[in-house]
Amino acid sequence: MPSVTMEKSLSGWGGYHPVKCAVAVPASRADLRQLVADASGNPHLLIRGLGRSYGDSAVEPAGTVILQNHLDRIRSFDRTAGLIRCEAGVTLEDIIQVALPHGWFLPTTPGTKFVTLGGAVAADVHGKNHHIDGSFGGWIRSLNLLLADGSECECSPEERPDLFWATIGGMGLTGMILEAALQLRPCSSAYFRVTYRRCRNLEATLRAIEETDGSYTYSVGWIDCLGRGDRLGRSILMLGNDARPEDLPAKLRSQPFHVPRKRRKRVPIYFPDFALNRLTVSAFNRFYYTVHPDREVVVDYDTYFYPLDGIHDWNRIYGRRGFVQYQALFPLATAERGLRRVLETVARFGLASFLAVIKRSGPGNPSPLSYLFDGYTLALDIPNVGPRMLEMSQQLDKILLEEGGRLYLAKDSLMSSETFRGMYPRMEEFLAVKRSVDPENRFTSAQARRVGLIPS
Amino acid sequence: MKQTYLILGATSGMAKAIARKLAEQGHDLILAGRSEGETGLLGADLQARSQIQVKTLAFDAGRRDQVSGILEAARTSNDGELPEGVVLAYGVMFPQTETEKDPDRMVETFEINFVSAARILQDFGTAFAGRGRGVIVGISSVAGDRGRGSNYHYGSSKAALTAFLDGMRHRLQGSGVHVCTVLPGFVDTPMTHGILDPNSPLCAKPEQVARDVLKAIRRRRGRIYTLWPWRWIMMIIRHIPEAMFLKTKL
Repeated sequence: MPSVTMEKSLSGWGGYHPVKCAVAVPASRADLRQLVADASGNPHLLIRGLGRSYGDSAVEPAGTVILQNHLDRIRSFDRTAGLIRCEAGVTLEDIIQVALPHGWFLPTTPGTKFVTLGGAVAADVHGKNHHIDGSFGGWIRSLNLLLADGSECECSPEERPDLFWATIGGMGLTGMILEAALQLRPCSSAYFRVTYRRCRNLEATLRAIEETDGSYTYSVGWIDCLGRGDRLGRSILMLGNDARPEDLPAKLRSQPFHVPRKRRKRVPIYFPDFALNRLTVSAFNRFYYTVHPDREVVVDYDTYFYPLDGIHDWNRIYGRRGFVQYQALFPLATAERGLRRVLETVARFGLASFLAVIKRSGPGNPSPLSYLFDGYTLALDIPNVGPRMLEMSQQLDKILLEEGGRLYLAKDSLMSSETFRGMYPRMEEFLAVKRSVDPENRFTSAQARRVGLIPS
Repeated sequence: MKQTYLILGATSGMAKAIARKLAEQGHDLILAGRSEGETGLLGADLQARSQIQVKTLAFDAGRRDQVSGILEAARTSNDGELPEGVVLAYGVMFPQTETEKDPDRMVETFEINFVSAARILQDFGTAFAGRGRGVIVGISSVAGDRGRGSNYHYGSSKAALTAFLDGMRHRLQGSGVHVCTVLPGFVDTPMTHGILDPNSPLCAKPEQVARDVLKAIRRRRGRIYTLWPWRWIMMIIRHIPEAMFLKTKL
């Protein structure tokens, strides 16, 4: 049966600014091919997975949005080499479930496992081990793409490397990712040894990260964005290493890959817009800081990597108005000053953010649009309070441009095309590949037009 | 115990989820579906996930020879043995605006959803009864519980299927064959895209339906609604007096 196209209101995970889109749900490969082949019916296409990018990367009111998450079949899994090849709609949760019992884990993972493999490739996602292992794209061995002209092609770091690397971090603009082959990482249990370490301000935080990063595979810090003066940038570092079976408590040792099922909670309603304000968030932050004294614990992968996955629809705590994510990256040389300026600005505006995360990033990869390079990255949630939020994000953009920083496409909702051009100097390289495989700009998104990757 | 199940219409959203759950429990599978490519993709997926034996059969419920031949084809591919169970999970749902204009399409709905299904269920019911053992799961729909103006073409095809399954369970009572009528409400699959709101609390994920189906097999339940609130919703809908029902826009 051909796919039906219906109108639906879509937004990113931040829930900011939903728009009406024409949505198609292909049930088979043939349906997908048909959607691409029908150039007059679908002049513009956008692939959407689980909609976990925060902004408008997976939204396109001027084209057909294709939900690809029903095409979720694993093609092959080599249990000896840890190489898994899947359709793009397979989720990271799925991959963990299949691979972990055989001693394999994701080579790197973002803070949620509810993302598709295709989405992880398109956004070139990163995780707590970026300083050691780089981003997701570096672990992709090959991709199978359906291009705008209806042809299918295989690419890899060896075969058509320009197309391969433009697709990594390319936000779905080079073509449709049908399949990807991912190299997994061997692990000896489903658990991690985690050390909590409190740091009283930004300087202490950065010093502690520099000191510890060499000895921990995973490292991330929760940072209190409302701290000012002496406490500006106070944080709790969460440093982790794989746990060996002998590190586990006795009752877990016999089944090191087994994690007992947990009950998931759900945020049943949208919180009223006023629920998160400077008062409630600073109370939360104080509480959070107090209940995490320095200590070492052994926790399962869900608790360490995906604390928020345990609470479905957590984005509703920001209310119906939604929120935007702001992830800033600064090069090493200007990081301390840049971070200080960002934190001061956020504290001055007093726009509450629960989830501020700081992390040391390692070297980038060959992808022209990949986000991270050697430096520090800070991610914040900003509730959508209207003009004041826009004003703050513009001030932050300016700081980033002055300090040689950049924003992450998978999280951005607001940056202008001038800002984007200033932050991504290799944009032309990407566009050259895009022109060669998609000269009519069939693959688009609202974000791509906003930041000038597609002429609007 | 490891057993073999035949899944008809294996690439539908619900069938895929049921197949994965059966595979998780170690059962071997025979997948029968219209598109060879899609059936093959699912077969490889199940093997990668669960290391079970998977065989595939070309099966189009619109082709009489394949409908009447499916039992033998399944037996042949299962080394001459009847499979332990069969899950009938295929069906079509055309928008009724379309079938109202095109009566041939309406008839096609009956032929696929009921006529071919009845033939297959009859064959397997008799064969399983002869063996004294077997599981028959038929995926029908709550749409068959009461004819509604907006969806009675599809609904009546499922009403017939429900009655057939219920009747066969009655007939095979005590024969060792378990017949289960599955009555799903809204399920978020590509088939229902554009008809249902997947965010509605009544809209089930295929995985939830699959979980309920496996539980029904395990507990040898005769009839299940999935998700469970549909039992009560449909009870109310069935009991709305006709005069009042005619005033609704269901």
